[in-house]
Amino acid sequence: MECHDIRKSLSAYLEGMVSPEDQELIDQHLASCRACSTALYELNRTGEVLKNLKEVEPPPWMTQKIMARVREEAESKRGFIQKLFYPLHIKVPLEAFATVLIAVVAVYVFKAVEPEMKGLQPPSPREPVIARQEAPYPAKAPAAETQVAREKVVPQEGPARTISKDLAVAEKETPKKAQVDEEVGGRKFKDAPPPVSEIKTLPAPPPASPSTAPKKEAAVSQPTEVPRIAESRTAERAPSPPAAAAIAPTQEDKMALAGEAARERKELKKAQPMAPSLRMAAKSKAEVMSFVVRVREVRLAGGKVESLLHRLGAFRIDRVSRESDEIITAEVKAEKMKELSEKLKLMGEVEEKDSRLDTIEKDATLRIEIVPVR
Amino acid sequence: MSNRVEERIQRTVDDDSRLVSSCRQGEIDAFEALVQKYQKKMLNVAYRMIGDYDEACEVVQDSFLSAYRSIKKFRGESRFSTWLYRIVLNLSRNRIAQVRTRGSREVYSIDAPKATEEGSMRMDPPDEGPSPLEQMEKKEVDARVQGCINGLDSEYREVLVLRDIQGFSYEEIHDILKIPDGTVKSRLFRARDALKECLKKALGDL
Repeated sequence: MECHDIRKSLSAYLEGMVSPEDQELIDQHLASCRACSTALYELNRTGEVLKNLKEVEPPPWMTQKIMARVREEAESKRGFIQKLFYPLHIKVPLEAFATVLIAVVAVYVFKAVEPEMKGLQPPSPREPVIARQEAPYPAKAPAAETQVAREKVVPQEGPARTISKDLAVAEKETPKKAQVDEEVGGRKFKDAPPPVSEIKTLPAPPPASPSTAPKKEAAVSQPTEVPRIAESRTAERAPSPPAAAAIAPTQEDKMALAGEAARERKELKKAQPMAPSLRMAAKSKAEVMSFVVRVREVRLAGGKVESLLHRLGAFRIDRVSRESDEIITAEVKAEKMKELSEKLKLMGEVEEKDSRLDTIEKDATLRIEIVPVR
Repeated sequence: MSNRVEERIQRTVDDDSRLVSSCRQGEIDAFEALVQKYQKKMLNVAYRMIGDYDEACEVVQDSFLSAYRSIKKFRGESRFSTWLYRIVLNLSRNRIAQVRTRGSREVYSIDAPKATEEGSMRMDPPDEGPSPLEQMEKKEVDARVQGCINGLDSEYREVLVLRDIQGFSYEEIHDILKIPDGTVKSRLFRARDALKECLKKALGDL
């Protein structure tokens, strides 16, 4: 074995990790080779120096710092669900208790508020009408009273369209078409659900003539699509005296004739009150409202009106600027009409063309003309 | 004797695996126990690898955090301590590489003047009289030895640190580094040889 090989094995030799044969060879060599025994000594010293290296102590804050970071990590790692439910033994009972508490409070609040809510409930649009009708005819036959009760149900279902179809048939049957029509017009005031305030101003419905009323009644009861209530009502009423019958139609036609009336009126070109016709239009489609606003600065006012419409939640706003005037069209919710009108009046002189604000019941199409002051 | 050692090791392993399974169930205190148990050894490994106390502290913190993050992935195929040392060695290696590329660390140079508390001194060849090693303070010797360790490549450095400084068995080193025993031995031989030559110059004598 040469020095080179011996040196390679010295590391293992020091640790006693060479085979006995190798150990013998190395021992023999070391006895005769000074350089190699020096190398062994140095290697041994190196090991000793390394072993004697002083251990370093961790800084006292080490554990805390590590754990702070670990806890931070643990917090962020915890999922949403885990945060909600863990530790289970604390949070689940807590959450269960909270749920029960919420339920109890909710029931309690509901019970407490319920009576008040009943008092606050706005009357349905039709109820005032019925109430008013009952007033002029206090001495009604019991049959009529039950009808009133039913009336409340039927109109809310609002099968005006289907009934009106049948009405058309009825109209053909009756020879006194004009008279019927007139009646329809009269009744229509009650039919549509106008604002309560308006109702009060309207005249009391003309009492239907006993001769026409029963006919109508029959017509109403005929249709297949009419709710069964109408049928039963007719059955009830049939034996009743004409006086009672005369009252009944006015109530029942209220809903039955509504839609038809407008059409008839158109066909017959009869003189009819303006307001009801408008109301009918409002029911079937969006109304066209036309305003003329007279201002000093047309362009400026145009911009203002446009932004006003945006603010009121109008849609399909279309602004056309012409030489001397501006035309803005838009669709506005009925409840915003009043505000709009008031705001317009602040801008200048406002003319409302062929429409009345208070007749609007649904979304209306607006046409605002802005013209310079004359 | 060896039976008693094995028994002790076995008990440690059992303790560790109990703590590890507690950790997995979200018991952070169990992890704290592990930190307290291993932080010193981790720090010493890191310190001897990197050669800088503050950086070694950072690496140890990162190692524990990394261990915590992946403790669910720890399958128990090896001992927890082995796994921890593997982590700290990997992070130390990365740190050394970073430092090298930054070039901010001066690798210990044998001939360069060495800054000491008494000022700059030159490493002269040994002269007569008491050996310089005996004259030097322990602190100074440690610094020079560390300087020589720092001069080694990572792969040599780690076997030297694990075997000669920390006293791990070959089997443990094989587990930690995942390299064959033969490779451990040959690296160790070269590391010792290189260090011996360096120390002869750095300390003047051995």
